Amino acid sequence: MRFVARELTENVNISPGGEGKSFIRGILILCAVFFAVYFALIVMVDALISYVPEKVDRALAGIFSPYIQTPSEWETDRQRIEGVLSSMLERYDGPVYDFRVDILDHDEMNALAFPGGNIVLTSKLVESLESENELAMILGHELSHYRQHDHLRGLGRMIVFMGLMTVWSAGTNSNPLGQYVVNSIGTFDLKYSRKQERLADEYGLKFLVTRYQHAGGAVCVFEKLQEEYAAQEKIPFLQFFSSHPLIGERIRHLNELIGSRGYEVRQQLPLTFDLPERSELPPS
Amino acid sequence: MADFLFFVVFVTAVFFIGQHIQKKHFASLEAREQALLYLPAVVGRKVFNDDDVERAWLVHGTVVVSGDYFKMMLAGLIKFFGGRISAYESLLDRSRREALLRMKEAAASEGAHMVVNVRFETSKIDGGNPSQQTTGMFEMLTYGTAIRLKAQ
Repeated sequence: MRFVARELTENVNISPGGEGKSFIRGILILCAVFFAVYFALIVMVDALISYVPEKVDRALAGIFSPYIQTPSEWETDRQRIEGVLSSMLERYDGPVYDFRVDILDHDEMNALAFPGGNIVLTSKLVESLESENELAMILGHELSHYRQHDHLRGLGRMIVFMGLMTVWSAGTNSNPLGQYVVNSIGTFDLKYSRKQERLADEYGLKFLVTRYQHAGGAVCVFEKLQEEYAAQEKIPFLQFFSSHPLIGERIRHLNELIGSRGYEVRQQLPLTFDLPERSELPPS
Repeated sequence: MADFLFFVVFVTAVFFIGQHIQKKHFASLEAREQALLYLPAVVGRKVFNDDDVERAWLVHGTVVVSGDYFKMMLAGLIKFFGGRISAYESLLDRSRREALLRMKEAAASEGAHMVVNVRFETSKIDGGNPSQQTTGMFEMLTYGTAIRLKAQ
């Protein structure tokens, strides 16, 4: 048999289609699948959240409570805040919890709603207060989160988010692509979070007006926040990456509501806190 | 956000650089294959009578290759759902052809008429660590028996 040299005209060992196309197709499929799974699970979480038994909520509170302890020096101030909360609870129409307020030693102005009805205010926020009305607005905002089960929703969404991250990491040895896809899903979550915060502001205002018959103090805390975080507010596109609406936007919205609903703004009841120095350093 | 933009710019740059290198390599492979078309390399062991053979010697060609960052990304993406990983198909094809060519070039340089009993072997040098975003590398070895025939 005679050898005849033949040139290969096509390569059967490489699949047709470019790598770029393959990459784009892969990304689109990945996004579609992750988004579909994420939204399906979120719908499920939202549907089931109101059926979560109280004992689960209490058990969750047990996880966080060791980390949220009001320093003994601030116990009197804590009780004063709880006194204001008690006067508001008569008008509260959400799920009943054994509500408790704690003061967390922290140099940021913030308030949080933890499972089990544990409202946490940071020391910096407490020291910035100048009236009972301001405090009532903050507590009303946090009570709204309990009314809407936001604290459980937040946890549920976090579990779904972390679950997707884990599935991706396990399936692909932590390929960074999927992490970016899952993170981009997180921005949708932030949009939802901003909506819930806006609703909580509206409910807080309603609560304040029902309790004091005027809207004085509704925007004061936000004005202090705006002053504190003025530099941050100037970051372009910040609203897309924030869990809360921008502070200026919140003030505008509240002022619009006060105007459109014809709420009066009268003198506020003075209430200040001068938290004593702590004898022990806060836990890091 | 900044790290995401960096990631996009980095992967895009790696994609274009990788594609350029691959294109150049395929062009080089085709030209060298064309030039060595006269020298057959076959898997058969006994193609000639022993009496016709003037000289027989071992020849080999070896190449160490690694996928680029983009190929690793793409492979990781497809791996999740399954399917043909074309990014690595082209890499393996290039490495097989390069190793075979190097072997044929070694044979041709000593006046061989043919290479028989050709075999391919591969071994992993570094498996890479996708979690640390490093690609692996492997060796492709081709070896065979170069034959020089007696003048007729």
